[in-house]
Amino acid sequence: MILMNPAPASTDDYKQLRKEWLEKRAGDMDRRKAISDSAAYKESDPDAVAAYYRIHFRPALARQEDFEKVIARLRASFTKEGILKARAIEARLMNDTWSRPDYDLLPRLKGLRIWTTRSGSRPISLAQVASAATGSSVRTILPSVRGVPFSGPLPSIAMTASAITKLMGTVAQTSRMLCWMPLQWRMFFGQPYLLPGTTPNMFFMLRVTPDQWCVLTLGIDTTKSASTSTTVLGSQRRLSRV
Amino acid sequence: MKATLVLAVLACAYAAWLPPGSTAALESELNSTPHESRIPVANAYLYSREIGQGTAIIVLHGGPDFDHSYLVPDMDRLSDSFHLIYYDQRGRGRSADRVQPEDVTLASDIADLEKVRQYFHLDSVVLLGHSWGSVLALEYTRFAIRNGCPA
Repeated sequence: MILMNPAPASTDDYKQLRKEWLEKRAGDMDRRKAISDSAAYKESDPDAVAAYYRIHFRPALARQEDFEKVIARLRASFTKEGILKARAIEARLMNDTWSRPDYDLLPRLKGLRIWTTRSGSRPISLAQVASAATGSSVRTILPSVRGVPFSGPLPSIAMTASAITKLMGTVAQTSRMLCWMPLQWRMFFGQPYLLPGTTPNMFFMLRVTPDQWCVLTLGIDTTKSASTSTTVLGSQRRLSRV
Repeated sequence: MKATLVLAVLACAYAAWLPPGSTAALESELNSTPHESRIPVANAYLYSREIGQGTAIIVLHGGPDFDHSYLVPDMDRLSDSFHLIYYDQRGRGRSADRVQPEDVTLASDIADLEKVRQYFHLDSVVLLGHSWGSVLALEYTRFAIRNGCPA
């Protein structure tokens, strides 16, 4: 399983994400609200909707040309009728998830005893992965050695907001963003290095080269269920390619 | 752990050594032709687009009001090593015909994903979820494990 820029896994996570956006992207949120309040947006004008998502996705892509491509593709896919229907669908799915006060995927995943494993490291549960991925749960504990997290999955920049690591049962490091992770993204994926707490909220992997495959191999786990069947992100074999 | 560290060091060294032309060479390998299908599901058809060979990955788009189109062609770069299966979720993009919003729920999205897995005869499933797609992937995993699906 590959989770890329995951959405919140619980209603609380969703609220926290909104809160962080309001705090850290206040200007963007004001501009988005101005657009969403406009008549054009309410009437599902594709240009107005594209303008809204232009603000939403701007932190996601380091390179301006990549950003423009994504926005152009989004805009090309928008039609008035499609927007109206998709909005109604989104509202229904919100009602099934983040609008429910009790929506929380993490404990339910814990109950399934699904494990992500990596050779040479300790297993971590899928719930932990999801928690780390959403970057929102203070309960997230990443496996670590001497207080330094070493096990995958290599989170996206957006995934590391509140990870903690433990050493000998005590909290060795609490960080909104563990510094080594953005460094890895800087080294291997060309993303700009971002100080902890200044993370963008999106990440798109636009290019994968052989060296990056090796990183993915190290960083992304093979997920195995408690039963004999497997959910695979089969990256271990990619080592041989490199 | 030591082996992991060694590999990480090797990866760093390889990244530093890699000539600029390697990316272009890799890109030149991406000559697969996409194949489009209509997958029958309950009261609807889902548009799907396949490309590449190898382990199948079902790509779950975000939104949830988007469709798969914003992910291509960039995601297609994985098609040199993987069989990518994109599909537009029910009511969205090219899967919107004759679908009313009232027909779409989290349960229907999960059921549709299971239909997609069955349609492509996948014994094990790799899911790549972006944004909302990650929630769908996790919800599907829970469904699949509880129902004995090969997830």
